[in-house]
Amino acid sequence: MAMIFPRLLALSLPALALAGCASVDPSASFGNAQGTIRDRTGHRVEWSRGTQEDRQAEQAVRDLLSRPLTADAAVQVALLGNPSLQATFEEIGISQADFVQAGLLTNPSFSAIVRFPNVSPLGADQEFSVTGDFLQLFILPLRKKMAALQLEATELEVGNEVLSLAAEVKEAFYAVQADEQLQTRLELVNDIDKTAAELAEKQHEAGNINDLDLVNQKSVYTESQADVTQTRIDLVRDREKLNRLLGWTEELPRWTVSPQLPAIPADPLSAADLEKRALVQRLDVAAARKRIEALQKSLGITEGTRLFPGGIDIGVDTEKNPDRSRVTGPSIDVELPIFDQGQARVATLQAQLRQAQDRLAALAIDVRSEIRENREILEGRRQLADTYRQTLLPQRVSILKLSQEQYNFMLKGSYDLLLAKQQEIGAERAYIQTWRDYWTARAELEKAVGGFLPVPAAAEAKQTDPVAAASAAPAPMNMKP
Amino acid sequence: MSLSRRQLLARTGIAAAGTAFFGRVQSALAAISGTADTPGTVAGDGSYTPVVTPNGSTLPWVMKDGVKEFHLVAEPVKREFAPGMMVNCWGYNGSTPGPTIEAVEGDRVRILVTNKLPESTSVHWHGILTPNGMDGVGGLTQKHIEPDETYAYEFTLRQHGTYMYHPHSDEMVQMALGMMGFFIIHPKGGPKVDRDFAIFLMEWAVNPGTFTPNPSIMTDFNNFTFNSRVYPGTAPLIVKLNQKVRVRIANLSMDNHPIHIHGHRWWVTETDGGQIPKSAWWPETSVDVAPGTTRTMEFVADNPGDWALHCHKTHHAMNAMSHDIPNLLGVDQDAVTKKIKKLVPGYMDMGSDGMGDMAEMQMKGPKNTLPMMTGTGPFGPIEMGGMFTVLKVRESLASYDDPGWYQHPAGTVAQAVKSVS
Repeated sequence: MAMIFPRLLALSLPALALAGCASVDPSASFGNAQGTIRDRTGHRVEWSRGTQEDRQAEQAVRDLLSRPLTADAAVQVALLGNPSLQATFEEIGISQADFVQAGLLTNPSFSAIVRFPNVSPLGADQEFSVTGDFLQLFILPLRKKMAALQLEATELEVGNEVLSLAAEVKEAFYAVQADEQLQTRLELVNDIDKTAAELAEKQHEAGNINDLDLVNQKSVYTESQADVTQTRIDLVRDREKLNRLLGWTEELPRWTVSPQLPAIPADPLSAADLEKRALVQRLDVAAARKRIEALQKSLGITEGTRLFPGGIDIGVDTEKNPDRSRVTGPSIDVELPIFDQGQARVATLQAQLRQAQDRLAALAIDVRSEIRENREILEGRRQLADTYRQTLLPQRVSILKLSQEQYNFMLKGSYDLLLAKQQEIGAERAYIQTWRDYWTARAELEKAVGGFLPVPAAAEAKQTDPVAAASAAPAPMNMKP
Repeated sequence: MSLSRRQLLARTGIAAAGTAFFGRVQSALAAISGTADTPGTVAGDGSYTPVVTPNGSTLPWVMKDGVKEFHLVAEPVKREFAPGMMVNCWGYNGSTPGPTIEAVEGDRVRILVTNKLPESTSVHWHGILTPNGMDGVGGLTQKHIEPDETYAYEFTLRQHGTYMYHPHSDEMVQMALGMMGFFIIHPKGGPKVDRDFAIFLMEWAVNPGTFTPNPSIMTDFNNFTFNSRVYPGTAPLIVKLNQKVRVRIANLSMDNHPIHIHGHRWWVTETDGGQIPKSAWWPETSVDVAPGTTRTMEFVADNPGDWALHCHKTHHAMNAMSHDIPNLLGVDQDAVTKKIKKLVPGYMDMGSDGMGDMAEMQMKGPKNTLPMMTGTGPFGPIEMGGMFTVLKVRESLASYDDPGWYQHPAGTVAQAVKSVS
């Protein structure tokens, strides 16, 4: 025995050397993902793994939540605190482990057999062998390369998840911001309807309108009350949606949002290069490319070894016969590729490869289309918001003013004035909804392009105040975005 | 409106809408009328007292071969209804109503009519007994007078009385825009009166904030005029105490108007059918003047003072108002007003205690729109508008210029008394 092991070991050593020693620590890979996200969004992601950085991240979240949130701050909070995102990060850990696994040689196998003859000489027949898959010595570097590609693909996919989350957070954030602005308007409409109902009540008391007219007027008020309640429900729903995305719990500061949606840039977003840029920087596109490369590698390996599906086991076998003679020699164990010549495995991989390539082509078409669509929608909403702010709102303000002039000459009644005011608020409401939709489309476009689109700093300067024009009544809130 | 579009296009060369057309042509052609004081009358032959057309004028004539020749020009005019309201009208010789034609029974008259309107017209001599071919009904008795054409009407006056002239060609539009005028025929050597006034009634649909009457309106008019003016734009009737006064009233509007005089009763002496035998005159204080008729009243102004003279349909003695506003009479609006003020700053409640406050309030209304009721007298707001004027009877007058408010003898004005309950 003592003699055998060193010899067997000596045979195995070159194989051990080949196996190398990759680490299971995914920090480096996560670092890559972190870098990609920083480049595309300017935001930081942290992987919470019980380190010093976790506490820093939590503090950062607290700081961000204690000031009125902006869309960017909300994205940052989600990137640090969203629990599902943390689960996604573990994909990198899994891929990293797969990568390590791919670099490990199959352990050699040792077998021992002791047999006793039933005729003399009656000594034991002992046989020992060590075998190992010889083929994997050649395959291993290829397999490692493939695993590395898959790890890279995972990093990219995780990055893409982060960008999707960022877009989702922005959309949820703008929804909450708009809900709050809309709620103020609806409350005002409700106030107007209440006033009209009170006036009707007084008219009824004085004997000037009948029961039908009174109930009609009161029902308008009730309906607008229902609208207010519905908006409150919407706000709760949208706020909770954002809470989930932020990973907010009651232990964290209760957040508020900045009162106005961000100003809409005055100039249209240039369409040039958006598609090209997307195909370069879309992380899911890059990940799909990596997956194809990995499949190609895998196909190469399978094709190269198709005749040896069970590998080529080579070993040393030594047998000590009962007559104390010893026979030693190499052994080989190979499957005979008579029936299974690996053609099915190759075909599977070929099909998977074609599938992946088709999916990439489809993705490329989707990306271009998404960009065109979102860019056009974005521009349409920018123009529509502009029309509301620069044309319709001032018109509504002026209608109220002119209605008041007619009221002054008894050409219109109080209800006409209240209606004109209500229509002015209606225009504000439509404007806020379009304003919100602009930013939602912008978040969608960012997702389509695969990275944030910087807002020109001069945006604010080009905005004009729609109610600065001579107005019979100031708008209930400053409409200046 | 149903303008003859073909002619309109032919004249302007552009596919102009009605208002655009008014804007273009009026600025070029139309004189602004109604702003000046009532001009002097045209002296007659001494056999009659010349008629005064308050806020209007009398058409001069020239004698040609024993024929009195007058010249009417049908054209767009701008008429000031009262200060603060200018209206795009059509009329004659720069005015609506057109200048009053005055002649004497037996006269041979020739009236040249030049059409400066964007569509064809004709003139019908309402109530006057003419040869059939001079009756002025477009298509029936003559060709329509096309733009830029001049037609001559010539006939001998075989009657006397208060008559009218007006188009009989696209009547609905042309009359709704103010084409009308008096044609007064004095009797040869009849008894004279001291003062002879002519007032033409018309109603108009000028939407608040607009300038052009809407000729398609049939019932819902909002401006009611004496000689195409509304109070306080109407000139007062100035007479000396005990003068014999004649008031001729003509109506081409869509409604009848009971014209009421204060402080006097008058005798109805004529219709547009001519003089009523004296034995059949009847006294009244409100004379209903039906559409398409004239009424002539006479009275002795024996009661000094400032006397209202107006249409007795209350909405007609008022300027533009809506007939579709909520009734707030008796409604306690205080609490609601506060709320509305918060929503609509500058709001004030009206109508709770009646609408009289309207006349006192100096609030901004729509442009080119007169307050519903207005005017200020010596004792406060007069709260009138529309078909309203003042008959001023004075013991002594230096001229027929407005003598100002009446000075009441002591003890003749109603005043508040201590509570007697």
